[in-house]
Amino acid sequence: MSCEDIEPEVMEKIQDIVVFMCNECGQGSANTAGVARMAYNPAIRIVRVQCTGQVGPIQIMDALNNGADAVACVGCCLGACHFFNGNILSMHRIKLLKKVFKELGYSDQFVNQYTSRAAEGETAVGDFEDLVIRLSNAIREEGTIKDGC
Amino acid sequence: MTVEEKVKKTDEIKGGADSKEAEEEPRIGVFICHCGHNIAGTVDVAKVAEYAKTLPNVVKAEHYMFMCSKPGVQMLKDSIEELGVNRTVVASCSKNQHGRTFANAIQEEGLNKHRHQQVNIREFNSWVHQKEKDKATEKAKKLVEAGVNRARKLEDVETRRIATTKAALVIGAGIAGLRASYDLAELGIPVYLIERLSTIGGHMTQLNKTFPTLECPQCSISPLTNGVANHPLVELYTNAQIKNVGGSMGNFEVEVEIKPRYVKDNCTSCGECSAHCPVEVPSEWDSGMSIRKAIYKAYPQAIPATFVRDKKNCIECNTCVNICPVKAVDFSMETETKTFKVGSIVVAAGYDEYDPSEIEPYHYGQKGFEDVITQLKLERMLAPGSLTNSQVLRPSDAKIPKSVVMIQCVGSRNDQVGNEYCTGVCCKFAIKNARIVKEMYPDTDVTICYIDVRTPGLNFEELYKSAQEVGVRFIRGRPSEIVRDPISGNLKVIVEDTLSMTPLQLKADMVVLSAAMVPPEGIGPLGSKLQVLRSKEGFLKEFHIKMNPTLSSKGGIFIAGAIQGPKDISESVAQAGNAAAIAAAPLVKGYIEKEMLIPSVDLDLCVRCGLCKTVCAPAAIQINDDGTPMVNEVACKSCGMCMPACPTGAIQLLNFSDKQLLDEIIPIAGGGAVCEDEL
Amino acid sequence: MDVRIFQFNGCNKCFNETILLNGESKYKIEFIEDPKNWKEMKTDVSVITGYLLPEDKDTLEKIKSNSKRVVGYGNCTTMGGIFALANQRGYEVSPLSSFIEETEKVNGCLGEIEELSVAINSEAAPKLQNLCAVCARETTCDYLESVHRQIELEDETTCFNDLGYLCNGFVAKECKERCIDYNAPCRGCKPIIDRSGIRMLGMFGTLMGNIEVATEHSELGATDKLADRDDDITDSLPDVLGNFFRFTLSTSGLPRGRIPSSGNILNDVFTGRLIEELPLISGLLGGNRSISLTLKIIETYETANSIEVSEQTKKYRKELLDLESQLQEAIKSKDPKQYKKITDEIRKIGGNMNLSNVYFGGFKAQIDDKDNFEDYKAHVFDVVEGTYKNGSVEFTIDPIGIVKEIKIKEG
Repeated sequence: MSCEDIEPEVMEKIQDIVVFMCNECGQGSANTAGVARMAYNPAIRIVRVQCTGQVGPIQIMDALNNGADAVACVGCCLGACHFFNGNILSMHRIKLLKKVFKELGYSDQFVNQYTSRAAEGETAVGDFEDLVIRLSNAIREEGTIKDGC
Repeated sequence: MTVEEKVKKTDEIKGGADSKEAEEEPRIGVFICHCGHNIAGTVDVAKVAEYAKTLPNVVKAEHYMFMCSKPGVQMLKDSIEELGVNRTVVASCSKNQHGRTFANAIQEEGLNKHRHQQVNIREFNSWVHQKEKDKATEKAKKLVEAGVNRARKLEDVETRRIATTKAALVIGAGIAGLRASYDLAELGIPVYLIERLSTIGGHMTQLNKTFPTLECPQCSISPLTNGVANHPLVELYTNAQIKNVGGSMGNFEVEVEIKPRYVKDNCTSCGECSAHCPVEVPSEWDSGMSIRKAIYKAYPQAIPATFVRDKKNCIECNTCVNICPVKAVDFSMETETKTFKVGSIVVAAGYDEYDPSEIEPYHYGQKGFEDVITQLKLERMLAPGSLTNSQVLRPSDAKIPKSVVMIQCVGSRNDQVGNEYCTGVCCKFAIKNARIVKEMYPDTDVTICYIDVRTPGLNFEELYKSAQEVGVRFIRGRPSEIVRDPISGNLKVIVEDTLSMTPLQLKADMVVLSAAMVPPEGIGPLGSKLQVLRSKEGFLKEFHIKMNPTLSSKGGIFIAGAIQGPKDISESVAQAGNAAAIAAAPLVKGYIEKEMLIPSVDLDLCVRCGLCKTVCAPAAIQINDDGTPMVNEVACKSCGMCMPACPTGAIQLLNFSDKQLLDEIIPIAGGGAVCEDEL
Repeated sequence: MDVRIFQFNGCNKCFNETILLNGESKYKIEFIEDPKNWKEMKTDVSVITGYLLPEDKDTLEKIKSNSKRVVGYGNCTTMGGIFALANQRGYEVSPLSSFIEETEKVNGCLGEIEELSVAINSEAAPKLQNLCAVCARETTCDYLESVHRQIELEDETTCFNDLGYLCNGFVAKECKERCIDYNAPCRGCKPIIDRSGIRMLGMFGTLMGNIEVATEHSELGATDKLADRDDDITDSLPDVLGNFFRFTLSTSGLPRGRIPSSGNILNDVFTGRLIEELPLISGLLGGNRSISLTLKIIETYETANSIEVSEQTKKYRKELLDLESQLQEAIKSKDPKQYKKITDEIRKIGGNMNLSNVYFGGFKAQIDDKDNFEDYKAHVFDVVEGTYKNGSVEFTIDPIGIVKEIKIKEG
């Protein structure tokens, strides 16, 4: 499946996706993608953080509580965090947050974490695509995170 | 403006944190860049600028063709002068591209450069949404609003100068450590060189010839060993180990434990003691290929030339004490502990040769398999002045082997032993040694069993070809086993030639294992004393593999040579030179400039759990006696990893606090509470 | 001073606790158990207890308009409390502040009566320190290698979290009903900060740093991503909501749950919780009947799984049951002295009014210095899948110990 296959009525519900990208590979890959003019969904909004290890459940919930349809963190490759293990620690926390959503009866696809490589724009774009596809599946099955509140 | 005036001016600006400006009302200037058509071709920049004007605290919102051009930058400067703008937002390209241009511009106008907020609407917007112009414009508005929100609360970040201690400590006196020490000393920096063993020179002195030119390593290294040993600015400590490391970048305090040689410095190196010593043990320096005494010098040219007593093996017969003509032998010498104050530390702890006895099918070190040796042992055999008189002789019967088989990738490229990496130099030294053996004994069959021959770089393919030309045979395949005929005692190497798919049994009078380079023994404790991180293979991890290969995870600690990963001599020397240069920079300059972008701790909220210390990779957070964390502002790398670890949000990174990030997130996320009754 | 104390929904324990104010000469107290039908009259201070639902809005506004000041008392009122766990299943248990502007709030489960007095008199509340400051255990917060759902009671000096046993003490204020004194980790009924559950999630997730998290290869980006499958992180914390958000689900900013409700709020709160947490939860929820409910659940499980219980344990349990029936009388008569005497007795055996000391197989801490603690000490027990039934209580637990279904007959 690719982003083109998503029905317009589902796509319409994907308006704001907050992506926390680390100052190193995260921002780097998105910059590379930009230079190469690789198109992706304009719902993707990038927030610059020092390291994904800086992003906690507080920031993620802040984003969701303020209207984001989904949140993702994009950090350096596993083992290549510029601050040792920030990306891994972030994954631990997001894993717990995913569990919270599951326990509340929601899809666990509203929060995700990816890695990317600064020199390869397609890694960032691939992450964004994956994010949108997963979100569209979740929305198709059970509606957006905002539905019903 | 003279240089002094410039320095003075920047100094004044950098003291910004204490200035009164922090409390004044934010006056934000927003500048939208067209970047020619790059942004304006997709984003309606005029609309974005109009929108920006409606945002609170925005006193100026403009769009312009090229913000990074001189007139563009001047607009920024004028707004500060004319409208009293005290925070700037430029929506243009990435922070990496021109963020600094604008930050520097506002600094020239007397604002702290951290009051500039760069918004990326080119790489993150116009370039990637070229077909969706309306959406791109809407997105640009949100990104600009987020930037304005962020700018509103930006605080000044002070850049502080920290005076450095003009001295360096180098750990390890192998080729990398020697090179680094010499280069540092030549830059006028006093160096303390710490060596674990009793002699300097490291593995290089053990070699017979260096590739690709087959030069004598002793001749190559001796100017350096002598140069370092005699340099007025180098203090050499052998038999020494790091005991404790305190302080941080620019100002370390290192405690070093120096074990005694039991021979005083007045030793004339006459060798009488050794000649009369009754104890004989295998020589470590000679890879066990010769014997030494309990009081000895590792090799005749060893530096320091002073003899050393091996306390463990000494039987204390006192022969040496009595026989020494200058009474230099003194059993009463004791371990000394010295503390050195240094500004930089260079770690050049080298490598160990992989011990192949772990690989069971090769039977290395087992009885009956004495003729299975490693390349380092072969080097020792071939070297001038060796026990075999530089002949290749079988350890089992001292005969010249009629067939020599070399096995590559022993302990490298091997998941089973946990080393996935390619050591990278084994092909080169195996080919070198194979050629030497073949040239010495044209009747001897010399075979190399390889997985891939890796000889990149100038002159190495030529070396490979020259070995083929003299008749060295290459077989592609990793031997599965070395077997020994129980009756004749002959060895056979079982290998499949994977090019011709033929199983082979190679008769081998001698087998030489090209063992991997592995992290040296004791690197674990050393790494934790230095508080530097290690790669999963155990080598010291560089800060960044491409951009900072000689900086460790911790500021002020540099790595050189094979301690960072397998390397040959040229690479080690080059890396050591670089390590020395960047280690010297802050010491020559006399100070470090550090942006105080560090976390602060709200002690009312702090619950003294200590998790911030656990997560801090550069070990910049230490715990006080009362349980509260203390941030070492010099060591901090501003990663913010301590923030989500804190259970109460007591620790917050300057300009990246939860509140500041929330301000930025709100417009980006869609702009408001989702279901207010719930929140 | 006119003080009117209103009991809304749920457990009555906070409401009962206010009996202690009865008889103090400075107050003219009226207890109102049926606020809906309350005849409006002007009052100085209104104290609200119990959890609140959207249908209580009108009543609350009525109270607000008649009162000079409104005090929320107990977690159910101030933050939704434990009943807000039912929001996981679509309920809308909401804090008082979402209906009316409250003057003061007194957090806690139970709320502490001294703090209520202070709030009623609008005196300055004393600043409370963090629970860890008064905890005997010491912490280092090194990364955990594994997480434990129960611990043996031998180690009394290491922080629960360092033992891999989740404790919310880091985000809690010091309190009187201190679970930690009874070898039970804190569940954070008096949070020291907003959104304590979310913060704690970040903290504990970080602390689990050495536990491997599942990652997978992402085809589209050709990089790695966080995997969705279960791993040691999720397996070791089967009930994140119940452990991190026990009292704060309605104020943590998490969206309302979408799991279908059973129709009974009490069952919905219990469902999804862990067997080892049940005694404490029933101790919270059971109201006037918390002792009998807790013991019923414990004994049902013990009998079915042949967990042996000593005579001493049985003796203490019987004493608790006797105290419970005496307590009913005291509540009826609203006699503060009698109430105080009986609750002190309950606290002595049960640890606190939430029964932190009561557990499967015995008690978690020594009750009387003269006892031999070994005679009634609780130990780690096995989680056994099955349906457990005993008279008025029936519950089913799954293989990892999560309550799948529970039926509690009233009375």
